[in-house]
Amino acid sequence: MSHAAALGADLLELETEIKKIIIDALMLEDTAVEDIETDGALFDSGLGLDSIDALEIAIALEGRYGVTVEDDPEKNRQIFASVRSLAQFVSEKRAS
Amino acid sequence: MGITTPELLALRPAENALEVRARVPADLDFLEGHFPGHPLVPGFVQVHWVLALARQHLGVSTPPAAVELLKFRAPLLPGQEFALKLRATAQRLGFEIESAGQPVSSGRFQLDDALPQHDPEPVLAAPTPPDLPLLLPQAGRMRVLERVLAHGRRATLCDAVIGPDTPLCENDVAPAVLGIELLAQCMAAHGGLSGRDGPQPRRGFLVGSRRIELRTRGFLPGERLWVRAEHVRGESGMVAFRCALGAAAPPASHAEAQARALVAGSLNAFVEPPGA
Repeated sequence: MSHAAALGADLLELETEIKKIIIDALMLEDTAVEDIETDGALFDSGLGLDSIDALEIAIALEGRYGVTVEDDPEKNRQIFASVRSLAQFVSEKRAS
Repeated sequence: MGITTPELLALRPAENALEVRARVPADLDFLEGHFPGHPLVPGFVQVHWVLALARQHLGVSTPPAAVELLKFRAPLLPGQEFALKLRATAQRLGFEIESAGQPVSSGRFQLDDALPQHDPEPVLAAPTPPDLPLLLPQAGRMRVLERVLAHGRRATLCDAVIGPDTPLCENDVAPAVLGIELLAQCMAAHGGLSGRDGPQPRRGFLVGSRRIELRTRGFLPGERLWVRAEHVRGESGMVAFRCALGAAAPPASHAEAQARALVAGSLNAFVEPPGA
């Protein structure tokens, strides 16, 4: 496996983990990992989450990965846009 | 005793479900002191209304062992009309409150017939607290905490005595959901003491909780409770605390508090940023 492919596999695994964390943090009992689209919007039109849900997800990510989500609404809108953007945020924070 | 229930305008019961249109009485009992100059219906009162309506109109009398996915998204004000929807299943009771098409609050109860009523502990001789002021926005009888027993960078320990004047205390018992308010006020007390060196205490609002466990049916007058709030994240904006309350001797640690708690959970609040 090439270096890029290995990174891609890691990211895919991380995205699946984050979907599980979201389902667990928000007690989405009727939702499976497969039901959450990696690029789908988490808020408003998408999964319909709100800022209180974002806080629960932030707490869960901080507990699981030791990454800190700053109190920056503009930046957080980008980070919490989708599972993909959350996974990118976590992997960048962990690498630094 | 003043008005403690909403003014019902319409009731639509269905099988295991209920829709209610109601109005907040302008002279509701819980508005004075919550908050002075800014009256709004406390979250624990909304939650109590849900349980009372389910008991009266759906025959659901099983006590709640937990409140889950609790959210307070907008204030409910004196005179405001609102719609309340309830759905009951064998072990669950879900609710949503809306006003003018906008969500106000929502959550669900986990119900458990086997929920015990804890044995009241003898009221201990109150330990002399250090000189720590209880800085809370709540006033009068809506201030349910009595004193700060200890305060550190991470956690604050308070106590409260249940009495006949305690909000929601009826027939000599205060329901376990009063615990939500005790936990919320302990969070506020921690914020008040932590911000003492700042320009002025900042206001905070309870926005919700993923899960609050209720391990008893209620509290009895004369009972002295300890209440502990430990800061988890955030200084302003969205903040989170893990909280617990119980009877008898105050706990020495978070682990002990959790183990002996009668009510425990993680609570989230919105704290106004500095200068707001």
